[in-house]
Parts: sequence; C-alpha cells; structure tokens
Amino acid sequence: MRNPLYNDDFEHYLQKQVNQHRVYPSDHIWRNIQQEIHGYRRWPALTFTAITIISLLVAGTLLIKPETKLKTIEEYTIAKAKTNPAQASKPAEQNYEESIEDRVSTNKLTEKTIAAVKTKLLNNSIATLSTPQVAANKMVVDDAHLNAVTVQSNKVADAKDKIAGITNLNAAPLDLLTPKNNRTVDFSVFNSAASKLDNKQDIQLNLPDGHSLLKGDYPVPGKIKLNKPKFNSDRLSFQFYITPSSSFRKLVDDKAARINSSYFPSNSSINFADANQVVRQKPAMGIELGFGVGYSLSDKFTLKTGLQFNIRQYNIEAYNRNYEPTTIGLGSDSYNTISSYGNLGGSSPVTLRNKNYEISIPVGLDYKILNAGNVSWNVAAALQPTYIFDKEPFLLSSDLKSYADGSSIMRKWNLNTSLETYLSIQAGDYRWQIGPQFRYQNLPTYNSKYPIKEHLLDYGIKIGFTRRIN
Amino acid sequence: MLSAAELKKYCLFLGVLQKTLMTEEALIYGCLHNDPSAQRELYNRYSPKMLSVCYRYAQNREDAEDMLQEGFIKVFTQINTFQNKGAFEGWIRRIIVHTCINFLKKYKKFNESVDLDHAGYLQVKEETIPSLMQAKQVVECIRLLPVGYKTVLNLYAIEGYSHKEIADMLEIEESTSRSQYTRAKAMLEAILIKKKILEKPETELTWSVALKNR
Repeated sequence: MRNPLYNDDFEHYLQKQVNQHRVYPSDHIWRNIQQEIHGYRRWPALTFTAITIISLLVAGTLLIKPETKLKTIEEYTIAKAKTNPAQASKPAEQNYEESIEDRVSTNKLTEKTIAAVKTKLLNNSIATLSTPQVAANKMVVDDAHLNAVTVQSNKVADAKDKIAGITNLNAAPLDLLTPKNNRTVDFSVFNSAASKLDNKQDIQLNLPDGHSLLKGDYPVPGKIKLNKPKFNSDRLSFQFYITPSSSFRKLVDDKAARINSSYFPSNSSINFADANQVVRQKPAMGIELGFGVGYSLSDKFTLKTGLQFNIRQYNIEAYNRNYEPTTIGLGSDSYNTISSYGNLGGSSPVTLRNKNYEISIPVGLDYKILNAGNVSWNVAAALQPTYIFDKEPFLLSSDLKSYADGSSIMRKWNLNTSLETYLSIQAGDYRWQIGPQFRYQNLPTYNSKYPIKEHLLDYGIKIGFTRRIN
Repeated sequence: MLSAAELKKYCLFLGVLQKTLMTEEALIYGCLHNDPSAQRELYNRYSPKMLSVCYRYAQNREDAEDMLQEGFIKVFTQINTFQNKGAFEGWIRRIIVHTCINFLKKYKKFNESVDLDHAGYLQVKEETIPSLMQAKQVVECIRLLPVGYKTVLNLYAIEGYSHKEIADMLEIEESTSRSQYTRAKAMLEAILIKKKILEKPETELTWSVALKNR
C-alpha cells in the first residue's frame, strides 16, 4: 500500500464517495456460502422418505382395513343377488341410493333382515324342508349368540316365536355350528321349516361358516363376526434376482472440518479446494445377487425380505510415484502413512479400484401400481442393513494429494436404501420382472471423523422371477 | 407483570441488542470456531460494503455477487490466518479485492479490455445514470469505465495500492498501470463533469478547485 499522504484531492473525493456506498446482497448468497462452508446438510432424505413410505403403507394396510360392517352388507347383497336374481335387480338401485349411515345402521339392518326373512318365508317351498331327512335334523341354536334361541322338537312354536322376536341380529354374531351330517338350512327359511316340522323331531339350525360367507354362498342377514385372517401360506412367494449395476460415489467434503482438523497441511490453494474438484473417478460395473421371500399383505402390497450379496466398485484415476509420507486427518486425531499413489501428479497414470463386497438383509415393501392381465407395474423400496467385508479402499489424504489405505477407518456396517420400479409378467408358475433400481449408501463409507464423506450409489437393471409358495 | 406480547418484544430487543453489541473480537473468535451464528453476523455486518467493492470491479451485479460469495468463503476458511495486525475490515477487504482480481483474470474479463485504446470514444449519455444519491452516481460513473481502466483506478485511487503492487497483481508493467490510471482518471473526470456531478473547471483552474467551489 502506498502512503495515503500521496493521495490528491481527486482520490480523497472518490474514496469519500465510494465508502458511503452500500449494495445489499441477495439472500441466496449467504445460503451458498453457508452450504460451502458447512457442507450440504446431511439430511437423509432418501432414507427418511423410504421409511415414511414403508411405514405408512404397512400401517395403512394393516390398520385401515375395510369396514367390517360394510363388508358384511356387501356380502349380504351379493349373496342375495345370487340366491334371488329376480329380486337382485330391483334393490340394487336402492342400495346405491342408500347412504353409508343407512347401510351400517343397526335398526335399518334389522328391519332389512326381518323383511328378508319374511320374503323368504313367502317364497320358499315348504316341501324343501319337509323331507324326512330334514325332519330328522336336530336344531340347536346357541343361547349366548342368538339371544337364547333354543329349539327342540316339542318347542318348535316357542322357538319360532323367539326367532321372530330377535330384534338385533347385529348383536348376535353367528357362532358357527359344526354340521353333523346335517343338511345346512338357510337361516332365513328357518321359520318356514320350523312351522312345518313335526313336534317330535329335532332339527339343527346350521349356520354358514366364515369362509362360506366370504365366498358369498350364503345370504347373511346380520353382522357376521369375521375371524381375523390367519397367516396364510398361499400368500408367500419366493424371489430370486440379479442386478447388473453401475457403481459410483458422491463425495461431500466437509471443508471446515478438514481444515480445522488437528492435522492441517501446509498452506496451499488445494487445501481450500473441494475434494470433488480434484478427484478423477469413473464408475465401474457392479452386481447384486439375492433371493427373498414375499408375503402378500393385500392385492397391492407385499412385504419382502431376504438375503443379498453385492459387489460395488468404482475406479480412481491417479498416478504412480515414489513412496511418500502422507497424513489422514480425523478431527482431533490423525494418522500418518505412506503412499505411492498421487492424486495430482506422478510418474505414470494408474487406475485404482475401490471394491466392496457386501451382504445385506433387505426389508421392504412392494406396491402394485397397475395390473393388466398378466402384466403388472410395481414400485418397491427397501432398507438394507449391510455388512461390508474384504475391504481395501484407497482413501484421499487430508491435503488431497495422495491416496492411502483407508481400511482401518472403514465402517463394517452400513445402511443402504434401494428404490426400484419394474414391469412383471406371469408366465406359468413364475412371474418374471425387469426394471431399474437405485441403491444408495446412507452412512459414509468411513467413520464420522473423516471429513470427506463418501456415499456410494448404484444404478442398475434388476432382473428376477417370483414364484408362489403353495 | 409483562404480557406475553411485551415479553416477546423484550426478547426480540435483547436479541437485537446482543447482536449489535457483539464485538469484533467475539465475531472473530466465533468464526475461528466455525460458529454459524458468528459467521452470519460477520457476513451481515460487512457484506453490503464488500458487495459495493465487488460491484465496482464487476461487469454486472451477478458477477459481483459471485465475487462476494467466493470472497466470503475465503474469509471464513482462512480466518485463522488473520493475525490482528491491522483492521479486520481491511483484512476482509484485501481478500475481497484479490478475489475480484482473480475472478476477472479467471474469466478473462480483465485481459480482454485492459489495453483498450478506444475507451476515449466512450459515449456517455446524461440519462444513463439515474439521479440517485451522489455516492451511487460516482460508483456508477466508475463502472462506466472499461474494465482495465476501472480496475487500475479502483486499486490505486480507492484501495490505495501502489503502481508496483498493481503491476504485480495484474501481471502488467508498472508503466502500464500508471498510464492506465492517468487515462482512467481523465475519463472519469470527463464523465463526472458530463453528468454534472462535478463542475467543469475553468481553463486555468484545476478540477480540485472546481470541487472546492461546489
């Protein structure tokens, strides 16, 4: 700087003017600066999104089941349509006009049930039940479930009265009675049958079981307490897949941490460069092999897990050189090592390969978006706790000038996330699938003290087949 | 008893007061420890003045903001090299000025026009500069100069660098710096007079007398 005394009036005038001048920067400038200094905020967006989607889908599937009452009514309607097609056409319009409240209303339902019973009484042939075989049947109605409706041969009339007096069939879940070589009698025709029975005979009212109800074989005038779905082996499927992929890495250089670490190399412009600017790397082919088991939660959702093996790798362009000491800064610690590979210069170019072998247990959910005949379109996401073995990574030194062995600070366990979408086609017993897959390593490859965070990415095409386990 | 609204106002006031009273030493200490709030406060305090510096060197506002961003990143990452031997603002300013020069060199904006001889034909219309406050007018007049001229003028007349330092920074001859400055000064005078920011001096008077007459 020159001596200010040499300034003439013109310079004084200019200095005075411009020193009063202010220009206010845009907001994004500070954001950019902050991002550059503190690095990108490590918000695990992909992981968070995947976990949220999976959780919501699982919760949605398991908890928000269709309303049982509505289901019961639907089944009643379907069954009614089956047993009496002539009638079905007429009330169908009415059903659509009814509100949900009307359809689930206990009183309305009871009225409908009684009306249905009466209709049946009129329509059904008495001869159907007047055969000796039917007459020989024994009728037992569980008191606890049908409000003490017990009918015996000598009390048919009483039973008839009791049944007619049932006012709330919704409150009387049908306790399914095991048929004992008896002919199943439609509940709605019971009155008719009972009135024609010989007083000396016992009959058994054999009500439809839950499975029959689901199949729509029986008209069900009232609420049915459906058994909870049990684990069904029909829902299980086995899957095998292979995914050729292109593996790459993303570096997030926490420059401030690198510069502020206990080891800070001699002042040079490269120290302030971003690691992404000084590394030269190329993706390499990786592969994924795995098998899994799927459990269909519904038509749309399948819960999947399995075992998976991955090889992921990428190439680093470096240089051969003589062995030189180099330092890896780890926050308050650092360690010295020697390296014969330079990042910026050396005697001859060389390609270093960072290769990982991984075993993981993917747990995820598969959602069927579209289904057209044998072809379907699905999306799937999975979280993959991963164990990494046989690792010999080349690690960038703190001054960004060398590559050294980084196996000592590499994580053994990591967490990956995968997202995929695929088209599948059913061919015989097998469903074949193909589609793109993205896999992301959520935790940095090296421990958290190493300031250059490396996240691996795989872009692959997944091919596989699924077979139902019967 | 204070109401909730009053308490909120009081807290806000305390927050503002705390920031206002944050000393330069505290800011430097915070920045040395990579404290985001100290960095933000430092940026808020100096960025308007530093953007004005960048604006004088840059071709447009976008370039000026890029220079500012790059400069402040250097400030925060190299703050451990500040040795308390001079004014902190001066230290920041030197980093910003060097960043501006490097930016111009990097994008070849400096070399392209450093030796412009046709600068004398620069057309200046009165309406090109709005009648804002005089400081802004003067800055806008400086910005009208060709890049080479205004860079030398900024460095010599405003930042106070010697011609030798300027020659080293811009990688030009010292004599070139002198001649550029002489031309830049003459041109700026002409512009200021044309814009009626300065009065045209009488033949026998120097421009400084004209200044005094204002």
